[in-house]
Amino acid sequence: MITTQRNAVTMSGRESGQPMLFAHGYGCDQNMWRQVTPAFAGTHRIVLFDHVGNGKSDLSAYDDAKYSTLDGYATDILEIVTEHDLRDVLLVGHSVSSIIGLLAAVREPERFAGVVMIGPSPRYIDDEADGYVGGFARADIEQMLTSLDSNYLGWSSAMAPVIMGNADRPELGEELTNSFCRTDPAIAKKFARVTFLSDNRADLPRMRVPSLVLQCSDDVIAPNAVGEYVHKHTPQSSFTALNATGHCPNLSAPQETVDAIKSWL
Amino acid sequence: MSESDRPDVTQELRLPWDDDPEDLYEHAPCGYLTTLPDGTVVRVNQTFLSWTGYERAALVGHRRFRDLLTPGCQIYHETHYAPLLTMQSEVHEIALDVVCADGSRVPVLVNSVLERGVGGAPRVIRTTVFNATERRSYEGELLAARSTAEAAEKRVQVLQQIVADLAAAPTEAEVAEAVVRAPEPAFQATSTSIYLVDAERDQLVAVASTDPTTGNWDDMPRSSRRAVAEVARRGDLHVVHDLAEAAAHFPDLAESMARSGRRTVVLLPLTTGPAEDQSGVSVLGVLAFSFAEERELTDGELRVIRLLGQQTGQALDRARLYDDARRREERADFLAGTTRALDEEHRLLQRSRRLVERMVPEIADWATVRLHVGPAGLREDAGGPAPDEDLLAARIAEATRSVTPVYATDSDRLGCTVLPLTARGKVLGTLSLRMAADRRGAEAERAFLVALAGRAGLALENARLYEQERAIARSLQRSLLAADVPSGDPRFAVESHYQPAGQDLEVGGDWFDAFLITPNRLAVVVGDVVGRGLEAASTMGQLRSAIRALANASNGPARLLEGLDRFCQRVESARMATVVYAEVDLDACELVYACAGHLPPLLHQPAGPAEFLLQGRSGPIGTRAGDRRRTEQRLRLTPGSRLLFYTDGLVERRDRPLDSGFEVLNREFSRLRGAPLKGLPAALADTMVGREHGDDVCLLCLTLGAEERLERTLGADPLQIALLRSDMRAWLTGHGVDADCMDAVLLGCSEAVANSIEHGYREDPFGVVDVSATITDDAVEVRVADRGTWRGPGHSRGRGLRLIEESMDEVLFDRGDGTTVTMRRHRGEAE
Repeated sequence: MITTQRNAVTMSGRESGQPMLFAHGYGCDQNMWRQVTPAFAGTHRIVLFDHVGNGKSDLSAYDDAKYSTLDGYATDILEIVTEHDLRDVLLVGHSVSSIIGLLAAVREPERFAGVVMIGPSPRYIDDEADGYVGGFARADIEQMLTSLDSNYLGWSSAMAPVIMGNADRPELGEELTNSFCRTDPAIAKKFARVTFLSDNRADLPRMRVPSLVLQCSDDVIAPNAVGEYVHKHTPQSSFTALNATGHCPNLSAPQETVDAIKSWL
Repeated sequence: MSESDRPDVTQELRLPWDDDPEDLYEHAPCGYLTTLPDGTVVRVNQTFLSWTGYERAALVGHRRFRDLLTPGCQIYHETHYAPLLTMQSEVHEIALDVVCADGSRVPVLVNSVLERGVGGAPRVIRTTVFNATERRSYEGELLAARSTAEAAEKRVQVLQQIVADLAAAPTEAEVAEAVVRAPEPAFQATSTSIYLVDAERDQLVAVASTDPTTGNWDDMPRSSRRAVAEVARRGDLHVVHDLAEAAAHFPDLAESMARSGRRTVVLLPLTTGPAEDQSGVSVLGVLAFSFAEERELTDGELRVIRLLGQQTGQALDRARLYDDARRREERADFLAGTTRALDEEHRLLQRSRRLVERMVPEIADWATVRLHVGPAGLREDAGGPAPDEDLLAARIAEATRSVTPVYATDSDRLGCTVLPLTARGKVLGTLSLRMAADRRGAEAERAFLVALAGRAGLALENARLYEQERAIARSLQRSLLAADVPSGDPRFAVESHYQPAGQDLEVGGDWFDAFLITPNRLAVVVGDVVGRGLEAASTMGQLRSAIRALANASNGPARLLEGLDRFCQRVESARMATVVYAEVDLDACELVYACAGHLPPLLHQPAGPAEFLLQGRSGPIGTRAGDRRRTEQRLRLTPGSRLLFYTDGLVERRDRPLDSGFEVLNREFSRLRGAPLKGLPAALADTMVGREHGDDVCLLCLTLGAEERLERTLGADPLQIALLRSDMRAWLTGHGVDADCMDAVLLGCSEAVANSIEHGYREDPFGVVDVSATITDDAVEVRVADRGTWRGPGHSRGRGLRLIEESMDEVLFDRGDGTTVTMRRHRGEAE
């Protein structure tokens, strides 16, 4: 299957269970779900994958034109779902993948039972025209891209040996190598660009699948107001505020994240 | 040196060990931060506070580490740093920017360790912060160096691609198109234009641009003071670094730079070699590219730019050679094609038409040929719109007077080139062309036009001569054929028909003749001379005269043909002519004939079928092979016999074998047995070959004695009775019918026809009446038939019927489908 190789799709959990498709956000890969998935493995079919350019995905499949919009990534999700013949899918998307998941569900709603959006933001940059507050100025994003460049030097030359030297916890070294060292810096930069420069506000009202917005407290990437904006403009959406802080509750507060998802299901 | 000789360093080292650990923490050479798992600062050392200018109280318990970062770094922190720290419990040397209390930024490298409590739950994060200002600036240089290296690599790739494209570009346009795309990827130029030198017109032509709206992108004379022209003259790369420099040297450039917001402009001449090599280097164009910001070009870049100029120049040079060769070939092909096309038409008008049609749209959008022939001249136009007629007339007059082409120029209101058409030293007329814009002015184009005019002139002159010759031949032939054939003799009648070829061919060599050798001897000739045109016509005239001269009472056909054989020893063009020659003794009704290679005459005697006369045959005139003696055949004819002489055009048809042609002729001739002689040859020609035929057809039909039978069909019109009476009177006279009988027959016949018209067709103006009359030694019988409903004897309208019955000996009415009156009158009662 094309997607198995291209997106490093892995399957686990209960084979006859309802499929739960986890989509990682910008800067990570499918490993970021490792503390969340065990809670569902007994009841659900767990489907993990990496976006092209991240993790163990096939870097050669990267196509500038296709991945210049989030829609290209949504196409990949639909191809995974179609190729593996997944139905009644519960899609859990983190950060940018919550919007990618929403786009996929808008295009083929019949495939999906629900979409969980963790820290979604339909647009990161403020829009002076209509007073929308995304939290960032255009210059901030450019600066972030520069910071990627700086750390690219750091990662490639300095970080890898440090990680490899982490002898007492080899699985972490493995994970880090996978997550960052195998990520093509040029692709990372392009993914950052499409992530932080897209505007998908107009897609929210087109959503026909029930969804859950999980909003962290004190998330600078997706502030509370943005999460509420998503909830307000997405039909059939629920909203749960988490105590967890930061942008990655799946890492910093996995149990709270699991509980929130379970109570919505 | 022994161990004991060493100085005791422990004394020296003691002092720092005595240092207060608290002081060491506060003033360590790096910043220390202790934070909760959510990043809230719980402890911070003085070093960090000194670097950043924050008060301790402002941070501890109030701010998170993340809050101290620039927004961009906050994103990086959230998407990379925090997940990584959670996953592996430590991160090292993350580059971040800290925002100081005064708003300035300190680049730092950060190491963090996540302490976990019981059960692995995150408890506290310890972070060291290193000031990385210098390191980051060094990294910045590294990054810049990498970008430079990548740019250079990209530039080389672009140029390699360009060189490959140039090698594959066979035309100037394609070279220009390939090069104009180069400076943007190679040097990050904003826009690029390319100008090519047109040496013939002494112009720099703007041929391609990535943004035609910037700058003054248009053609200019090579002598222009504009920057592009200046650089083309100098032949060396010129970089205009900024507006001030442009203003000092090139006002035009300064103006366009200011208008389009460009700051640095590179003007690169496209040369066939390096600029230093002055000998043999020519400038073929200029590549101009510009930058939106002031741009300092490195030596390496300038070297590459120069190289690009040379590569492009060489590619242009090559393309020009290709172009020249191709154009030469195209012109040669066009000339050859034109000559062929003109040869297909023989007539002057058609050939002139063909000429202008050949010009448009291939090389011109409008063309006219004007020839000084005939009283009004000849004129053929093609294309459009037509130019101003007065201006054109003046130019035509000039070209005609000077016998020199007058070429269109760029500044020309008329825009037409006028070429005199000359042949054999005389001016036949002119060919005027409005050439497509790109074909004007070029020297090679002029040579081509002169060659074209030469060929056209000759072709038109030949057509004119042909036309002249054809006219002469036609009138000659017409005068010969129209010469009187004898008529008015009741013993015979001759009817002829000449039908020229349907296609527009030259006159053929077919002819016929009939003349009386003596009052009782009639000569009849049909012949065919080899070839066409004026020569054939004049040969035919000579043969015709020769036959008339040779025919005498004692010679006879065979001797006459032998005489012609001798004649053609002197008149070579008569050789291989075919002739059928016949003499008829009008009193004895005897025919003597001889065929010299000609088709056999067809004879129809009153009793019996038509037959071809296949005797008396010998070869064509002047045949040298074999027996030179001619033979002839003698034959008695019954009065009323018909003889048909004809040429091959009558029976030869491409879609029919010759044998079948003879069969059809025999059948048709028999079918028309009862038809009057008048119009018979024309009707035969019409049936046999129709209108569209490829050869001339010549027929001569001879009737001996009066016709045996008279048949007429009349419309229901009383006026036609008079014509019938006249025909019938002649017919009866021809048969020697006595006057009483003649009057009686004419009266009876007229009355019967009148009755048919008057009564039978009272309500039918389109009815017809068939009249046939036959004659025997003792009686004349007339039959009048109609398909109407007229009334018979016993009816009140009986005067006409009574006249018929009184004048004729026997009258028989037959009323079936219409009415037929059969009347009979005995001859010779008066004798």
